[in-house]
Amino acid sequence: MKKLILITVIIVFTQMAFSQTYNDFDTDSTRTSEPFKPSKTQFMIRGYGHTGLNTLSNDEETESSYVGSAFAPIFLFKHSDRLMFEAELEFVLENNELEVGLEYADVMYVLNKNMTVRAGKFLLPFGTFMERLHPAWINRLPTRPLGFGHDGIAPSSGIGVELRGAFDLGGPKLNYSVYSTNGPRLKDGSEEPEEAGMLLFQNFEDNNNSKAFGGRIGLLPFADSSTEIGFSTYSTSKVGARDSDYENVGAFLYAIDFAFIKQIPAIKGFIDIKGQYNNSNIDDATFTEVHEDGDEEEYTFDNKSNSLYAQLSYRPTMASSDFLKKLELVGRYSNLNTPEGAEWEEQSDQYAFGLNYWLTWRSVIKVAYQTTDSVGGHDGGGTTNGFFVHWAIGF
Amino acid sequence: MMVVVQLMASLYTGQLDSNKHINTEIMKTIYKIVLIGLMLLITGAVIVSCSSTKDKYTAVTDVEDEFKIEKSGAQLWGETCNRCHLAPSPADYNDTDWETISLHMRVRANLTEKESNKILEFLKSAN
Repeated sequence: MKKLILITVIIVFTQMAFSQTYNDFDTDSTRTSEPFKPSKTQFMIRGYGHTGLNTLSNDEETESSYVGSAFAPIFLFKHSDRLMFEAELEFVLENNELEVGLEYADVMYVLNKNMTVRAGKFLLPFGTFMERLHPAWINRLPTRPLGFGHDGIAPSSGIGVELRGAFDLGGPKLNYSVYSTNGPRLKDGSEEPEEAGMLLFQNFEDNNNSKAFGGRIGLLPFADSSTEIGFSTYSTSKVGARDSDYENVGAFLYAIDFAFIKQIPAIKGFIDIKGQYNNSNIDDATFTEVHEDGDEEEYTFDNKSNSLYAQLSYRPTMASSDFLKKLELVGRYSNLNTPEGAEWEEQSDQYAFGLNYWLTWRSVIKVAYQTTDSVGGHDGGGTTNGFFVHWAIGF
Repeated sequence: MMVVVQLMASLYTGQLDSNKHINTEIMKTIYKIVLIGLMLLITGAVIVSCSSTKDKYTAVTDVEDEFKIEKSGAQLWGETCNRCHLAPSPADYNDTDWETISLHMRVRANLTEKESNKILEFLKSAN
């Protein structure tokens, strides 16, 4: 037995020693292989995250909390020079819970030099804020303007199909997009009576057979692309659930956006002006209000809303001091008017002022003060002041 | 057509504000006009872009380049990226990453093919 083991060990060691002699380093595979050649198919994870401290105070109380640690990874799968899949997830800590959302997930194909088709869930080009400017590392202030986001009147994303592209007009440029999506659904008040008449844009499965159609045309009239004016529409003939009393309620929304960005030597820096006006017009409908004593009362209202924001920022990029070059001053006014007579009636004006410090082109520390005067709304109105310190990073 | 006639009649009698039904119809008509305009624009764009052969396109571009001072990729990078966010540092990604990002941004920001290609070439040359 011992002999057998000894023979086996000798054979194994001999084989190892023999096999080592076949390592011919002159022809080693790592040296003879071709240099690194990128594949046509590419995969990237990009995205952004932010965190910060919010302090909000009104006439009654002051609340202060560290917020955020929001994380929004963007997945890019480039299959060829024309075909790509893109998706963005959003992880947000809110109301003591982790909320996960799918911002967009769509496949795109470049049909020709002037047209690309997208299908899936995509950010809607209704104005420019939600499609281009809302990510925390791009938005110059820690908050969104009134009218966007939760309970906003402007749609942010939709599931459907879109054609988009751009034309060079020999100096000026024109860009366009047209799309069809499931469209919004009307809140009839059965679940949230205080929101009867609002549109819910998260319509993952269409509640009727009527699709929403929309589009945007953007014109950059000057050769330096410093100015862009855009007009967007979004319309559907039915927002109510199939076979319900609200099935034939229609909606028409439009937006006008403006942007001006230019480095002006006379003021030694970049001026950035942005603005957007949103208008929502929903057909009138009759809703039911249930009083505490159980009595029901029908009511209706002129279901029209609008919102506006205008923002000005300045970066002294041509200053002699490296510290000053990284600073940015920003101010924003926004306004929201929801229908008179609705449970969610609100008239709000908001002013926000901020000072940003850009650590890199994609990482910014934002310090901002914001004051909002409201009549009506979820909180019953009044003045709310906020102080924010946020750190946002894109990657 | 009936809606337009109704609109004219309402304007004449000063009853425009009191007739919400007509207002809604007007909005829908305006929307339809805008939509038809958009569809015509896109149809025209498809016809124009699909009708030119590669040879013709190349020839036109050559002639164009002779008489027109084109913007450099660096200039377009400065102008175009800053429309939304600060212009990125070319060194932050490698060539293949920039190709992926360029396609993503071309669609997201509605850039022209020429803008996108020139910016990509600049980023790849400067990283």
